[in-house]
Amino acid sequence: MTQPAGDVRREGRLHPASPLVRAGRLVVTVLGLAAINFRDARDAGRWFPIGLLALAVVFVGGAYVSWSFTRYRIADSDVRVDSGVVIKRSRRVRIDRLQAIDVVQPLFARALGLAELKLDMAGGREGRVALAYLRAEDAQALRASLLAMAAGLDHRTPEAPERPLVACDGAAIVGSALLSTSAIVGFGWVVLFVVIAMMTHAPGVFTGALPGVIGAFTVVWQTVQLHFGFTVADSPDGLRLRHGLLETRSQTVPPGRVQAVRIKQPCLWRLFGWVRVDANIAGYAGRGANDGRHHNSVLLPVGTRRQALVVLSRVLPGADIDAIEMHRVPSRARWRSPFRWFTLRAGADAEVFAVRSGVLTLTHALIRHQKIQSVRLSVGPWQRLLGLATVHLHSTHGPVDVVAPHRDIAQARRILDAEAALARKGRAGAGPERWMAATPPT
Amino acid sequence: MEQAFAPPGETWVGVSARMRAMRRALLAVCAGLLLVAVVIAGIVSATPAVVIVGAVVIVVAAAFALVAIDRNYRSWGYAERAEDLLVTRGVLFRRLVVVPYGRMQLVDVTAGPIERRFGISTVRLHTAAAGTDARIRGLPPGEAARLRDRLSALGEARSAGL
Repeated sequence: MTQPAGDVRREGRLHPASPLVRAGRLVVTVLGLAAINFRDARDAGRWFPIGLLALAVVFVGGAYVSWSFTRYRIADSDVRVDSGVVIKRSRRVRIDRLQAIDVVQPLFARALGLAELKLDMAGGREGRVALAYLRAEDAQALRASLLAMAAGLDHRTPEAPERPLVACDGAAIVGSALLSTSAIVGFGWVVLFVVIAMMTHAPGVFTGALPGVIGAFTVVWQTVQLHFGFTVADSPDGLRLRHGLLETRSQTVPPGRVQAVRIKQPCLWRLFGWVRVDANIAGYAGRGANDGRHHNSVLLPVGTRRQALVVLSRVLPGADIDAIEMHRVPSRARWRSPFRWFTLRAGADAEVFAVRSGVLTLTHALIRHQKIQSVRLSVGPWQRLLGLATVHLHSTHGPVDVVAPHRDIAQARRILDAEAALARKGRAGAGPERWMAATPPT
Repeated sequence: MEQAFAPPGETWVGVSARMRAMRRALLAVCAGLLLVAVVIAGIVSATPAVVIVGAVVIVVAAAFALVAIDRNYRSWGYAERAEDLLVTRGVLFRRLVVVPYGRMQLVDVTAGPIERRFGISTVRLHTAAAGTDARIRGLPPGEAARLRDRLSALGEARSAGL
């Protein structure tokens, strides 16, 4: 491919309205706080609105100064963002190491037709570059050309066509949120207090139910907000996930970037046959991990098992997960794990290693041999007496852990050796980082 | 049992006896300080029984700790295979980690002030997985540097994308 002189593709500033959007959220927060504390605020007299106004001006002004010092530059092999008023910061990501690209539109930005482009690299929090904000069309176009470049194609390649795979049912999303474990705990709390109130004939006890109501409502609302209208589409650039009610998010996960997958079925979801699919994606490591939500590593928030298998067939090509022969653990494991030993299964085929477990919440975790980072065999004192061992297959950070507990020790060692060998072989045959480079562009 | 963790055929390398020496020295210091505390307590309260009971407890605990230190020291080992590194350690909780060279993101060598006095350091391997806890303690600095260089060279040669 002959390129014109200079490898800079695009250079520029973020959209001039970005400081407004950025500060907008803070201003809204301040106003919200003011509204809540209105009665207290009245004592402060007329200085209060002036102070608030000053605060808002400071926010917007600060954001504006910061905006005027921010520039981005997209070259042949990397994206660079320079920012900082006093302390200069220059951040660059290599395009061939991109793990995922998201286009996020918070409510405020959406109203102005703006969007944020997030580039995720392996390496967690530090490995992320966000261009906030661009015009929504620009963000889309930029994403398309970055993906084309990451794939090893010319940057002018038009956006790859996509084929819808799964669209989540709105009722299922609301229903599954209502039946999620944390919501159930919240409802249980409320019921507990209602019962106590009825038994003691003290209606005052009712107020104790409030945290449960608030907690359950928050959980349900957040889940619905995040996942509403979830669609999964397939394109040569990878999996496209779109979701969100107020804040819309459109994620692209290029092929081969999914490290491990888990199908999960909370107890009550079995009534409707719903399952959820989560994945470890290297670029999403760490984010949302601290609060244990991992919200952007969801491949399918709720769907039937058939839909889940459709998604899985895209991220684990060549693996027929129902055909894998799963092995139980020896029955002496009941002395170590009396409640769940009979649910523990592990098995492997040529492509993936799979583990299943769970009495109430069923989980089925899968990892491709070539994505295994390291393998660990461990034996605790109690396990040693029973001749059992646990095998951990380490994947990058994320919601999915692939652990095969309480295998017979000799078998565990065989798994360890086999996985170490398969991981090696799989890596040797792994495709190029630039996934389209192998095939000529058409 | 041992078969599963350290099968024959691999050349296993243990860690430096100086790690054991360091831990023994630390134990001696702790036990000594506790003994002094007990003696002072006995003198202040004027009850010799406190001193006797306290001393017996400390000595017995220290004896157990000595055995534990020795067993733990002997449990450490690593083997460099053609394609991966094996690290094993632990007595009560025994573990074996296999890290393919191509998966290594970086290799750390660290030595704290006490470790430095005893002339040992720790080599730690990092992969893209947070769960990989592959560290080798108690290596002489020369061996630690050699291992670091060899591992980084092998890692580079076999490096694979995520």
